[in-house]
Amino acid sequence: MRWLYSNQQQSLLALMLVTAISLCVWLDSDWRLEQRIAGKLWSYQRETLSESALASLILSTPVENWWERGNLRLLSNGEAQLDLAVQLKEQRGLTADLRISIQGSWLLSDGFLILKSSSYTALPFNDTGKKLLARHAQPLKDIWLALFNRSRPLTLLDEHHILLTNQDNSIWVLSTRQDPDLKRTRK
Amino acid sequence: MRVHLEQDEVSALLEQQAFAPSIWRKGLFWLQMALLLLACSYAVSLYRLESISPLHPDKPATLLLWQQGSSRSMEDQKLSRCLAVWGQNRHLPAAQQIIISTTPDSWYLAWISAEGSVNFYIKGHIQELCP
Repeated sequence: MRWLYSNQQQSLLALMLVTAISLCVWLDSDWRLEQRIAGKLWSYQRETLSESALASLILSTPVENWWERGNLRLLSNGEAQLDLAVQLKEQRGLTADLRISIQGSWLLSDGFLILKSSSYTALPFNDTGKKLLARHAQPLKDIWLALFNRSRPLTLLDEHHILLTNQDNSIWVLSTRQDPDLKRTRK
Repeated sequence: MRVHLEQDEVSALLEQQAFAPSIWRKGLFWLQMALLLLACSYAVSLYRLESISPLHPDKPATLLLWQQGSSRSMEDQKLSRCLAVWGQNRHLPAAQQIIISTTPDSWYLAWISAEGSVNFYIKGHIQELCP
């Protein structure tokens, strides 16, 4: 190919350059990441294999084991809902069984997932859970809202897994599957 | 030596000189070309970055160490085997990827399988579990 430096050649090059830059911006954009995580149900399980210091401190009782299974629904309109089944095992061997639900909103900015709560509900699923809520409903709410209301760097591991990290090096991996509820409403 | 040019050759040379691209036009052209190459390389690197570790159910679990916002692949067969046994003992499904993040007094482990992800917080050091 001969370089003529003609107007046509230069215009074509400029067009290709604009396309390439647009592609870079799109590949690296929050918008693209948002499209890939929105409208999905992200599930996870979390377990603390030692005494949970924060929970023990706030609930004024040694929490030996903390187990939770959760579903985080990130809707395309920016609304978020976290539904959790939580089991807190106290040192006495009693396990409090709770169901927690937090509604709020989500936003993706500069690669950070920002969750903000607007409502919170907690229900006991056994007697120990009922007693725990009766004694420590507010501290428990404080823990959950503190965990929810955060901005965390988001890394897409692949189409089905996202990794959320915190400054304290904690990691939180969530996996997705097709949300049957969302699928039904889209039909 | 005398060089004799025909009339049409002289005309062609004069025309070439008259319509030759200016320095700034050439400069702009090569600047655009360089920017295009840079933009293409950046786009390819961005695309490769996201498909660097796709999870395959049939392949052995990959072990990643997460530190300060970036991941590093760990080629520690002994640790991989130890964690695989640990997962089996806890009745976890076969892992596709295991991500570890450490702090001075504890560590976090994310066990990613075809069935979902399980996140663990473990007090102590990783060497205590896998000496």
